[in-house]
Amino acid sequence: MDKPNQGELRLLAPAELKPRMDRLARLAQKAAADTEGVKLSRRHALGLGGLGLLALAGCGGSGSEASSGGGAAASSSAAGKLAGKPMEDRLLIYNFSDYLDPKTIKGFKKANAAVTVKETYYSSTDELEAKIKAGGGNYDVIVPGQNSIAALGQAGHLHELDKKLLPNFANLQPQWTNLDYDKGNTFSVVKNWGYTGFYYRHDVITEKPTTWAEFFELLPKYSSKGRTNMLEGTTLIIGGAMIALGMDPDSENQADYDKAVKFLEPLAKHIKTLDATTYSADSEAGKIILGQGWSGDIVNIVKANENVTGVAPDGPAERWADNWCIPADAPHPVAAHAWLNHLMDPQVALTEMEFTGYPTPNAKTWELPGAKKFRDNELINVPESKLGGYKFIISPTPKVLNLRQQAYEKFRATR
Amino acid sequence: MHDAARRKRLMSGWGIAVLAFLYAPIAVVIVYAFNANHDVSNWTGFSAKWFTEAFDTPRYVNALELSLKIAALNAVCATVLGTAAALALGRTRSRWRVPFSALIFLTLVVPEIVIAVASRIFFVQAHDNFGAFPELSWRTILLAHVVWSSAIVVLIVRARFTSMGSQLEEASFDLGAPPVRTFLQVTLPRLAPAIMAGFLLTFTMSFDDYVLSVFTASGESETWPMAVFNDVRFGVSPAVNAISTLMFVIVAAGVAGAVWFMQRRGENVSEALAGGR
Amino acid sequence: MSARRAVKGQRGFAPRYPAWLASPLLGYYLLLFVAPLAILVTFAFARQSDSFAGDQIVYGFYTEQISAVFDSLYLNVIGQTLLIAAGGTLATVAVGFPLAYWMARHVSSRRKTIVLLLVIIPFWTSFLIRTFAWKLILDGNGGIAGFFGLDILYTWKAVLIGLVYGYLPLFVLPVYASLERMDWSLVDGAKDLGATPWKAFKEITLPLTRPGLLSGTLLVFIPMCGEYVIPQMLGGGRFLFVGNVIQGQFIGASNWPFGSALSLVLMVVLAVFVVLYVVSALKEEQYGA
Repeated sequence: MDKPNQGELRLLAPAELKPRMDRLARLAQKAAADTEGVKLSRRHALGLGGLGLLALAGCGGSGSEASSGGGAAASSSAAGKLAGKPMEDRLLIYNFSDYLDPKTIKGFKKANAAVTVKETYYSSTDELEAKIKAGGGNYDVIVPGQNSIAALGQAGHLHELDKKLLPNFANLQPQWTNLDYDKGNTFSVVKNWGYTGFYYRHDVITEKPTTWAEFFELLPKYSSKGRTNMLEGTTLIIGGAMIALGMDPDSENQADYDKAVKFLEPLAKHIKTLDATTYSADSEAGKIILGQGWSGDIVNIVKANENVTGVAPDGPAERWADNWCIPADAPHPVAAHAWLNHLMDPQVALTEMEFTGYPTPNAKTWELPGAKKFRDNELINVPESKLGGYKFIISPTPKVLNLRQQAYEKFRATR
Repeated sequence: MHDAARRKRLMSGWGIAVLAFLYAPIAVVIVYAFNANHDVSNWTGFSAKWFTEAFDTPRYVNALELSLKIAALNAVCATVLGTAAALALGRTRSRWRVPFSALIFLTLVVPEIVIAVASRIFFVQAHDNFGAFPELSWRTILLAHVVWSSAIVVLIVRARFTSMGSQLEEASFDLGAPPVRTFLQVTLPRLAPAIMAGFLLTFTMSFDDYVLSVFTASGESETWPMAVFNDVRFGVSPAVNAISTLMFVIVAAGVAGAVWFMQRRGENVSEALAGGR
Repeated sequence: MSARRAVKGQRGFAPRYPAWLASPLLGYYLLLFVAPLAILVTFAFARQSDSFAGDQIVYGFYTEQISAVFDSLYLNVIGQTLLIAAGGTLATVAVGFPLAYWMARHVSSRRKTIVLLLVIIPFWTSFLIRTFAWKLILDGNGGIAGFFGLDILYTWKAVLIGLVYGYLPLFVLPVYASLERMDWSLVDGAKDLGATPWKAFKEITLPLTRPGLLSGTLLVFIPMCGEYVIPQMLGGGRFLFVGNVIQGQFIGASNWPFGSALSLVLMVVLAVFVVLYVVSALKEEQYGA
């Protein structure tokens, strides 16, 4: 504390905090410089107006952003250094519940006896994203959907993957690597994928709809005959409608969203429920005559109820992927890489496919004899002719999220 | 008096009808605990397998334990803090009364999701900057719960405190009794129903809280409502109903046992539990 | 009144509890509530940056988020929510007040605690599980309601039932607590003097329980305004509460500034309601006395 230098920050805070503050400010500056080529003032970087401790608490969010920015800066340099480091003794996986076979964890423990594995759960990707953004989870592995990767990655919340620690990465199908939402698999590898399709009770609905356009056409005709359902969520309703209308679901153009709302508004009263939590069980009981669904659920619904036909749509539809990622502040990054590598083992990927019912991106797994029943099911192993027309919703900027959210609110306010 | 008897019968009828309303879903929960289907909402046949399955899921048992611990500590802390504040605020005309009361109301007015995220940011920052502050854990869940729980206690206890008249306290103070003695011998017995109502209510709200717990929890702490919500995506298993049923049976047995025991000893149950008149 | 005497009376021998009893809670609130609240307010006056990179929030004193709330879309949603919450509160009072009255007056004192426990025990079963149970009850398609030819699941009636059910203890317990030790001989005395039961209720019971009634209705109304799970599940997601919008903005669109601004406006609106309500109730009390 002799003379102020470049990386130092002066503000009203207890002296013992100073080194920490200085480090935060430097990291934030570096992150900002790395990403935008702009140099922030130290104060701005921390968002502190020199208001002392209350401001420190009050503007805590800025501190968290700054430290996470630091995470990005740190991770890009740390990525190369991970190889050769010793394996840590713990691993905390943060995932949807029932989305990972307990056998897989046992297998990993057998191969890495020194690592204690624990899995905890979230109920929605929104919850995951908000918790990662607010900080403090100490997770080593998370499973965000493809439309969270841009937000989490650009904000520096994700650890850059060290491919040297992921030899099994070579097992993945080329069409499920280097995807638009994460070029070069910088932050993510696909865990499993799916699409958003629909299903109907063929004893009620006599037409044989195969496209999203036909699905929407049938809603007004059959809404009086029973319950119709769409999945609650902005990407599913607004994104889904935009894809059906042939528009870019990640458009930054307000007019496109207005068009989607205009299309949906007269349909609103014919969509009886917006439910993504219990629709699957209700559909298995035959309570929904026409509904949107995630591919894995559709497979189960069709299996449980013989009156239901499932559809992997012809023409445009949404495809999605859930991904293995490592948070930037993961306390056990080496163990996390070992986990990712383990999951890309062909046999492990098959176990997982059998447990979750969702297709794996692992090329070698599909060649295994055990994968036959999945190969033959066109609701799971969607032919390339259809899949080629399916689009990812990526949500590349906050503006897209906001436009979509607002369009969704307008739709939901319509009855 | 004939009229009064009829009114009493009418009121009792209503009371019992409302109790039936409160227990209707509980009855359904219990029945569906014996559902053979993997998803709780589709009845496909009778099975008792979920009761063993429930105990083979240590996650559920741990979550339940954690929730009970948080709810109990929360109810104790909130009742003590809230009752003390209610006594001070109850009959004072201090200029602090209005801003403090406003603050208490404010805790109830803030939408839960917003204060939940803000609290998480605060806890993370507080721990990063002051090591003495607890890291995200069950302790931070408790700290967050006590905020709105104590507000509820203040509202309930103060309402009773202001409506019950202050002559007895005044007499006690006038006779030179110190506040602690006045409280124990005069105020507490008369406030007992309100304190107990506050305790029960805050225990219940905390035990069943989801949003605030999610955001103030660490990666490794999972409360019971969190466990239930997390399992919804792939359908809630009847094992959750089985645990709820067992809990209900244990509580009901406990209540029935206490009633039986006290009646046998010829005590007045209400007074024994409420601290006497 | 006695309260005034308490202040003006002999200093140093004040017949009331010392004010410092409130300080632990005040300190607790300053640390664990006011600080997060300050974060919320900071967000509400910030703006979102154009990219996810770096600091997603631009701090400062911008009022654009607040003014964006004053869009007819959001004002309508807030208005609707207040109306439904008011309706829900009235229904809760209608169901709960007679229950609390019965518990306090007609249940023998040895059974009172038992009945109180009976009222609260159902709420120790997880909220989500109870709500699923209500779906099974109200479903006209295979549910118990279907047996009676009713189909009210996913209508406003189901939402109302869910609201009353979920918030009943928040009303019943405070009201019971203030009715429980009421001096019923006052009521009997009034009747002996020729007052009708209604008049005795209005002149004696109501004024004496007003503080409890006040707390009870506020404890129901305020949280109901932020509710979003019940309309989502029992209304089939077709009823938009302001709580749904805040939830969506905050963790769906990750727009913390706008989510906070919307919350702040809602809080101010509710605060105004609460103040008006409390003032009018206290005024009546004064006239009544």
